[in-house]
Amino acid sequence: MTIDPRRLRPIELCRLLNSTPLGEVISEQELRNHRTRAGHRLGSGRTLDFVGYIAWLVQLRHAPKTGPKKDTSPPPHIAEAAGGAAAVVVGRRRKVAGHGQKMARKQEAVIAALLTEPTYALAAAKAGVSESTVYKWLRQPAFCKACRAARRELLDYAIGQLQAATGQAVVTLVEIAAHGRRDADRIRAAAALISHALRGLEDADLLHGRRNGRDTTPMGTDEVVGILAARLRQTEKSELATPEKTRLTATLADALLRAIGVDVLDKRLESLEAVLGARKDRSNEGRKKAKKS
Amino acid sequence: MAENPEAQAASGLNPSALTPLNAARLLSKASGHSITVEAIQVDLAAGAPANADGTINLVHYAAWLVREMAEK
Repeated sequence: MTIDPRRLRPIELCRLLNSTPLGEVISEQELRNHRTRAGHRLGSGRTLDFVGYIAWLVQLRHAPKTGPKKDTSPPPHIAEAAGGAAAVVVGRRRKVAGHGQKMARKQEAVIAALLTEPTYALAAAKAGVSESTVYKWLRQPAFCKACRAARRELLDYAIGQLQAATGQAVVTLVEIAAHGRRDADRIRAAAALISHALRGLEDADLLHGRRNGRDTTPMGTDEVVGILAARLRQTEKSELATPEKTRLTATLADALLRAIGVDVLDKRLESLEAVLGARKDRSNEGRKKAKKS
Repeated sequence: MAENPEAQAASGLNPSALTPLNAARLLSKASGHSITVEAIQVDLAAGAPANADGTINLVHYAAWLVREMAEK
């Protein structure tokens, strides 16, 4: 009786693999596990495709490494900030001497670890205490309060980092708006700048306690800007012909840029105007060429 | 014969003595996924069993792959 290597029973495949000079390499249970992992690729029903199985093994062996071995430790500056936050919070409570101080140091280490590690077990290991100690301390209201306070400190730090990065983000957007490689990049950057500038105006109004609703007083700059921006979006979404849409967008954008009277945006707006001006020039040239032809 | 895949193809594939190139072709065709000859050569360099003439016995190779997988 001939055996078809593409249709082997699991027991036959096990025997075949275990019959080499390498000795026993696989059990039926392991083969079952492999079958579950590989799914239909190893054949269907009661038989297995030996060649498909080898191909699966080769693929698995040479697949790029991903997943569980990924380093999940926080970046050093976050770990440092977590340690700092814990020290600040615990330091406020550290009044006692001797054993109490040692305890406070341990708790500080645990709080810092809880801020950066994904599990209590890992936090306990990092701080050098047992997991049960962590659970015991977490049941103490004072410790929980200190944890929450440290978390807030860390959040404040993170927000500070975000704010610091905002400046760089704006510089990048302005750079792309002025010198982006493609039209689409420059337009997207310009639109993002306008959109964020508008949102910034709204936020500034809220911060200064100004009302956002409609009233009978003459329209302020921000309202004019808001309306123009809405029109700009409307034009972008409309189904007008491209040259017409370009012309309208450019006109509205010009009006929008004139309407925004915020000093700090002057430089950014110059860049925007330059981009839009260049676009207008290009569209005019296109029209001239079209007329000539 | 082993060094000449064309000759091997003409005479029919022998699963106990396949050149790395023919093994890669066979496995790719059977699985529908790309198995490169380089991958097989890497395995041979890592200690996968080979015949004296450099060809591969598919059964031995599969057993080695299973053992390597279990050891990982």
